[in-house]
Amino acid sequence: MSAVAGAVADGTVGGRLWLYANYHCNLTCTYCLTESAPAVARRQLPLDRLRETAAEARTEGFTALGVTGGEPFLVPGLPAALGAMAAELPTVVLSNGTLFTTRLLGELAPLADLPFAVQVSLDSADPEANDGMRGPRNFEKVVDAIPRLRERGIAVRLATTTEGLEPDGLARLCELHRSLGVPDEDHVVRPVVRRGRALDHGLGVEAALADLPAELTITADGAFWSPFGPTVRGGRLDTDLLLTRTTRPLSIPAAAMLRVAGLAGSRADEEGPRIR
Amino acid sequence: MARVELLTKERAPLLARPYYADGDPGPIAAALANVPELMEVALPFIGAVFGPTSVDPRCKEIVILGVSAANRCRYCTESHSGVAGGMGFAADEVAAMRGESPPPERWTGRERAVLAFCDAISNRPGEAVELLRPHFSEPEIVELVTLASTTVMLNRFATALALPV
Repeated sequence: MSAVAGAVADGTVGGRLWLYANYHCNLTCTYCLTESAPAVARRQLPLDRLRETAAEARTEGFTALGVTGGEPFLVPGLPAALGAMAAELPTVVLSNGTLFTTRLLGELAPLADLPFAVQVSLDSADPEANDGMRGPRNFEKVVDAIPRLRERGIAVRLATTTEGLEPDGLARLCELHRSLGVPDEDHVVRPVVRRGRALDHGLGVEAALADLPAELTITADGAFWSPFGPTVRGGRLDTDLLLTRTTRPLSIPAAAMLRVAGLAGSRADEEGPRIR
Repeated sequence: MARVELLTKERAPLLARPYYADGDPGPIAAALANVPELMEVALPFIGAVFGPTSVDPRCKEIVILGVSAANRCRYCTESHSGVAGGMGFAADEVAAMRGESPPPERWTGRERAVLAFCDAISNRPGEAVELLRPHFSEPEIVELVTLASTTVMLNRFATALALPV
């Protein structure tokens, strides 16, 4: 068993390897960790890197893949790359759910037979409240997209990012997702994390190293401890959760993650205390 | 102003954090922290080369300051002029190591050879070792060449990145 597989098996690190496909987005959400917007630097991972890293991830001992951004579906040709990734390991792609044209849905159709899911964001059952955070007509587009994805056999999960949803609001949201065919076990509710644009708006909860599970995350700028690591503030990439700039071979950032997690000796032991 | 970001403690990457445990790690470490996987091997290496070894500290400081001056590295020359003063080198000795005056009459032949070696390894590296051979064993020569070469690397690093003194 590889070192990563052992660490995943005992729960020390997460089994899912995350990849930031890009940083640009057609939306400008108020709490966005990465300050994503239409005109920001794209920081895009080439499609062949996505495929190659997926293969490396399986060899290293990771058990699943996650693709996030930005809005990943702004990257032309992404569905084919996702298909190649899902052929390696179960793959979920996070999306704002606004770009599922008939053409894109057709490109995704071949993935129906693979361990693949689209995780769509929806923050409220109230269209006004949702669109206030995520942009005009977002609610309408997401509610339209979910059944169309499911009709093509694509598994859909729903993610709700919230500052504190009232029980009544959560109940109405759950009623909505059930009506769209998304079961409770595929609905993720998570807090706003106070990084990126959320920091500017005074939103969210603080999240330091100890608060974030180890989930190796690959970006065009390097490898990070968690998908909450490669955040952007004022146009500048945060580096406090950076592991390594080297992302290939994947064994280098994976080994760094294990060192930080305390599974192996840190080379800095003689110079100062271990991080954890 | 440095030509790259010198990472503060708040922005220090995970593998770099131990080097910030006692506060500001200095410009070299703060620049290297941008690439933490290099930092975590480079700093222990530099520490081993510059730290206590079989060659006496006085000879080593002549090499560090002499090579830095020969390579016109402002950061290293200024910072190690202070280090040398703190080690007890007199003003005329520091001036000699900075290439501003000849070595003092009281210097031994061994110390003069080390200072001549600094200029040679910076400008005529093929001739440098022979200057040391009458005074040092082969392991000591290897160590002094390693120290001088590491100093040259840091000279280029500090000058290229315009590290602030």
